[in-house]
Amino acid sequence: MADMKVLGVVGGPHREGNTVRLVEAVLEGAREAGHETVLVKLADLEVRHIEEKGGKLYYPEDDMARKLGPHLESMGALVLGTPIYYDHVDSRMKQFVDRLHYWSKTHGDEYRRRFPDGVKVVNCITCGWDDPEAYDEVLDWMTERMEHYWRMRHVADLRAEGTGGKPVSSRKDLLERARRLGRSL
Amino acid sequence: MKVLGVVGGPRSAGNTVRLVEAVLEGAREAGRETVLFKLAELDIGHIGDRDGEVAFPEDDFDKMKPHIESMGALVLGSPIYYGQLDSRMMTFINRLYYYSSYYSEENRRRLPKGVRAVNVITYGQDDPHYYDDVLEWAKDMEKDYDMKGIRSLVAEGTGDKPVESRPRLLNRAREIGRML
Repeated sequence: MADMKVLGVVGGPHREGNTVRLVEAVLEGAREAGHETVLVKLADLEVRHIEEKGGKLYYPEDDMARKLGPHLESMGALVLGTPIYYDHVDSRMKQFVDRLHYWSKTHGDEYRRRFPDGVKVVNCITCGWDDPEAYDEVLDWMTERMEHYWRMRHVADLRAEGTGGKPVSSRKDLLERARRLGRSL
Repeated sequence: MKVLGVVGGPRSAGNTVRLVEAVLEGAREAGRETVLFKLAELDIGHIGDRDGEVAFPEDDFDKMKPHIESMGALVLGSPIYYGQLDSRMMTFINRLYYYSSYYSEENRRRLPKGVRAVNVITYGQDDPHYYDDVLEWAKDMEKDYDMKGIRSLVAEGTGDKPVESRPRLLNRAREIGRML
């Protein structure tokens, strides 16, 4: 299936760090397979938290709405990347997930309908701890949210552990796996 | 002793605020000084990057620092969004990295020893144990900062049972506050 849009969304503060490198490799593979790719680093955007107005939830008209919204509504695959902070996704990624509430059934069917069905999702995590399976609970958390609330289809997880001693750029095997995964989307 | 309350979520007068306030009421009855910060009223940014290294923005977290550095107890309150504390509370917790020994041994020493902690969560699900994993997660985070005597308070099913309508829960919150 060519001409699908593959959207990469990366949390964390670093714009050229391990997580960005790993997600970029997946997108490289996707481009080799003829897909259009878009990479969004949350650190480059101004995204606010959900607010309250008149007792109701309010979704700010910020970069989440204006810049990410159009891509979210036209994507065929989503590649999520986050460093692990405090044994969970980082605060930018959690804010991104909370803001996806705009496209939820709870907000309204008309918003839910604007979100594509069956989006393929790939989760990428990076962590300093040198145990590749240490954060499988976090990967499960990501997958369960995406599948349950937005009916995405989980494709694969990528883990870059021990990034202090083994930066992603030095891991040819992992980067090749990421590109192969991107080609297969 | 100072008891510091920090509340996440977008609502400034919702269930989470009400329950954390009850803990602080109890603490005041026991003669403690209390301070409450609603994160929705503050501007607290994410951790930033300077030349590839972690950097902390100058924002309202600076207003919290004197209280964090003099607290004897910390009461964290958050609604559960998508099976985890909400994005404001997650941002606050990420910002506590400022006091992590991984970041700065010197900053770590400015955090009081043996701070007691209470974790307050509120959510629509009806099962009072539905998010026990989140409470365990919060406890682990607090233990990393050598906090002690960590307690939990849960307001489940807040859609049908707002905190204000639950006198026993509010009493328990005050009781926990008095024991801090």
